[in-house]
Amino acid sequence: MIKRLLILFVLAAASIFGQAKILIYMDLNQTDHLRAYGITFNVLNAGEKADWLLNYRGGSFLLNYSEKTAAECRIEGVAFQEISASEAAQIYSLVQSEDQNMDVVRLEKAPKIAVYVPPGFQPWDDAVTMVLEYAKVPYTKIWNDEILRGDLEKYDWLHLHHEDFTGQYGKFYGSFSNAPWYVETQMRYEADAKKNGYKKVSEMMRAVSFTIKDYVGKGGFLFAMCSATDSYDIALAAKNADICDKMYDGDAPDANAQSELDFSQSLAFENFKLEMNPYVYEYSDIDIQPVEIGSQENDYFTLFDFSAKYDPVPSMLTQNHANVIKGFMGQTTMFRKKLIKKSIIIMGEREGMDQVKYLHGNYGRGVFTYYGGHDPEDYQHLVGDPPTDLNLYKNSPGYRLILNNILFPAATKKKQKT
Amino acid sequence: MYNIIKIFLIISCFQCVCLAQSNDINNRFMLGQSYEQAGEFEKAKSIYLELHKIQPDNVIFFYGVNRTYIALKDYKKSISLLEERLKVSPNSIDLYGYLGASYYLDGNEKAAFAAWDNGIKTAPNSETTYRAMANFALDRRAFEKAIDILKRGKAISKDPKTSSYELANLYTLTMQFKEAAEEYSGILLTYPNQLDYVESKVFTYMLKPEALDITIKVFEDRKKESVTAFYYLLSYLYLEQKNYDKAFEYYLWLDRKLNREGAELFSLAQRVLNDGNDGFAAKVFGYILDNYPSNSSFYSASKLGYAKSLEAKYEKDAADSVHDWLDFNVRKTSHEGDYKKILEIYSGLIKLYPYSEVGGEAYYRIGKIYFEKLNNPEKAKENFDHIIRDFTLANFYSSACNLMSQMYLVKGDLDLSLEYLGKITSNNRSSEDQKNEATLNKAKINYYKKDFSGAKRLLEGIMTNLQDNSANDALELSLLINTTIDDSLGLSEFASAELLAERNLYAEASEKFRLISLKKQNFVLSSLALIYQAEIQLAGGQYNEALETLNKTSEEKEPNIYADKALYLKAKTYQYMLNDIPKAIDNYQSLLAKFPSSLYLEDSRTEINKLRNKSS
Repeated sequence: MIKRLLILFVLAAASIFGQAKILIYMDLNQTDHLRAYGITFNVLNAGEKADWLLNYRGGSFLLNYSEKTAAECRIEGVAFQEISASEAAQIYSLVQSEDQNMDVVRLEKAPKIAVYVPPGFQPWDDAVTMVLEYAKVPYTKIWNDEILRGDLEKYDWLHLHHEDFTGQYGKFYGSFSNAPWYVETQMRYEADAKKNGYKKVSEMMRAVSFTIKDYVGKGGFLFAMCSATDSYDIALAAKNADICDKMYDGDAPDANAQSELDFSQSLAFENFKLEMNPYVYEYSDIDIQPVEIGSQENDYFTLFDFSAKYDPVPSMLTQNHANVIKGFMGQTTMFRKKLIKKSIIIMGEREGMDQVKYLHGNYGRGVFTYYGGHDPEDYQHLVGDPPTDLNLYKNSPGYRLILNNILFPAATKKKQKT
Repeated sequence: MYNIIKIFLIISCFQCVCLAQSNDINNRFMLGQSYEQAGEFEKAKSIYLELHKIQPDNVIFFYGVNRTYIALKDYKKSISLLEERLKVSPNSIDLYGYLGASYYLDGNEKAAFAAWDNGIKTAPNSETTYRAMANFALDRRAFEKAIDILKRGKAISKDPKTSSYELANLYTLTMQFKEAAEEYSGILLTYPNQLDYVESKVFTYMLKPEALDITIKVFEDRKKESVTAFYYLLSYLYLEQKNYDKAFEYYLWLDRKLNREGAELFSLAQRVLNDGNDGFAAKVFGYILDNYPSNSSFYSASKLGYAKSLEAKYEKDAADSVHDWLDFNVRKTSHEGDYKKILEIYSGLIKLYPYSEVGGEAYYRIGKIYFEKLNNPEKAKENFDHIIRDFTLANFYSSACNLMSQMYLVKGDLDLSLEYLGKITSNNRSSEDQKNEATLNKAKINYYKKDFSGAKRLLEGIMTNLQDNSANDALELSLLINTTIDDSLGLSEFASAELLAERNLYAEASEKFRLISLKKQNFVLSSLALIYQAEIQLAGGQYNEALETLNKTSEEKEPNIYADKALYLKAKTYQYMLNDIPKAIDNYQSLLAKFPSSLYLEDSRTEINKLRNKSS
């Protein structure tokens, strides 16, 4: 009874004194889901607050009304509804009621985003930078020099895409060892290693990997896709082992490299077996092979339904207008379930199979998310393929999962410990 | 005799023992190899060591031992193995190479370099020695040492070309473009006939940052008039840099120096034309025509190239001033002088090849220029008549008929205009696109003639194929007829006004549209008439009047079906005609806010973003 009175009081007060709101609904009526994240991000960037209504109309955003924000939504083609303070109060009431699997998360400050990419990199070869560009979310590119000199503490969120942290140059040796881009990549890495005082690229990448791990441990947010997921974890596990063959670092790998792996160092995977044949385009048995996936027509993954009130973090990361999403391949496409550590939260998988697409975990005071595959709207992205035009995929559920991750850090009040 | 048999038996037994031992060694060696391939280096090592002990002179076993030491990262043992061997074979270049590699792997760079240098001392006058040692350094990715060794090898070589190529390659890999260019220029100085190969090598890295500018500078500094290869390469590099004037200067220099009588310039013009730089191509073709004799082999080809490139240039220039967002564009008449040379060239081609495809095309191009550029329909007709009479099987027959039809439409002779469209639709060689366009134009003429049923019938045929380029226009006209046919008198008036606009009689058309816009009982026609009136005003440069006309639609209290178009046209007017960017953005934003389902939404968003980027 008291609770109802309180709600009525809030509604009455809101309708008298409250401010009009912009409701960016994120269900199937939304015209551009991806740019909706950009609008919200840039509102936060301008010092405003925003509310993320978990599980309400596909995970909608509620922003304070301003002519500028409304105009931005129109310009970016983001559908919205102008609502009165009392309508907003009703929505808050519904979302927070105990009988609904919904909740409100206050977004307070736009996270500072860093993307780990080599110099000269073009944004269209990476799904995350592509969608950040499309949604107009600002980000900074960083590379080994910046990480090794401690610049990570300037950022709240770090993205790793298909870089190889093991020092094996993506394991493209078998197919591309004579391709100019491969030769150039190897030269660039070697020059980097030399400049930073490492004898071998693998040693530098190991140092980079552990610096990143340290950043997460101190409260950073790590989002990795494609081969950055397993290659990163392998690099951590290979703390005391040389797993690189002579074509990568000039000397032979350790004869007992497999047994020298220390799985307590890796974040998400354990007990995996290394693939050390340089002619095989694979790092380990973590990745699911195309033959195990079968045909593209049947390749879908399902998002788990989390309790918005009790599991807000995975709930935020899985906000979507669809819960069955079409699969997509990459150098690392999906993760073998049996090799995932018990502490990890699985957020998306192929139902009834040993294949996990999307996972999340904690390390120290920070968190990490791994998302398998290269480009959610290009089923089998190959080297040299043209970039995806996101104007054609404004409502991509697969890309939405990436953008959930950039807003998620805004929901916490944690401060970076340096 | 008995003794002889005995000796024979002993020898045979000895041979058998030797053979068995040899077989055993081979089998053990193969087993060692299998272990090595399987990554079982410890087992492989013990077998190789055993075999090496049995046959210490056997290099295969020796290198087997060394390989397993390296695989097991036992570099110290590898070093002592190699050093022991060097005592026996002090002149083995390979041993020094491997010794250097083992030192390098062991982290002793200084000893590695000393070993490779010692290897060179075994045959210091042979360039091959240097290249072999450089390869060992390269295997270890010791690029600077490899460069140092190759430079020394080049210095003692009588034919340094190979070392130079290798050095240039290494400099390119390590992004030392200046040094790479110096090597390549050195090769060209000594071996000018290497131009093609050097060009192919140089162009592999021209897209790297700064590579092009640095390379040009090096070649400029080192060029010699006696070596034309420099000038060829520099002209290619300037073309890559889009520095056409400089490229022209070098081509001209080459042409004069080699007495090529314009051939070099002709190849430049063609290359530039393929790059889409019509203006510069025309300049080069023009230079050839003005400066070289008319009996040279490429003179007529230059003539055609000149005409085509100049025409393409004028076409591009004219396209810049056309606003494709307007339904009506006032066609500007060009000066005959601009086209004089082009017309002369095409006429010359007709004289030379009167009945060939080239001659036919020349008639078509002359006709097109007279009709579209010089506003001289009589001359245009003369040329199109030739085509329609003599070239019925040519590719441009239907295009010529289309232009003839347009010409009669402008004259107001609708029947003749229809007749020429009929020639297109009945011609088997016309493409589907051409036939559909002709059918759409037939429907329009029927509409102008107030035969609305006939127009609708023709339009239905086009609208069924939505992939066709004419389908949109057909839909639009069909919609207008269907929604206003009840007021056939009003529609007739409207069709007459449109015909006046089609005939370029803009003042009369504008007045007629104004009068129609006053008749509010047919709101579709009156609203559209206002839009068309404004468009004609815009085409005629009456921007403020056009804005006033558009305001009548966009600011109407009652929602008007063309209000979004009015706002869109206002925004475009501010953007392109008045260069008032803030007002342009305001109008686009107003369109987005008021008409969330408008057809012009996407374009308005694009334009806002474009204008914002421009002003920021």
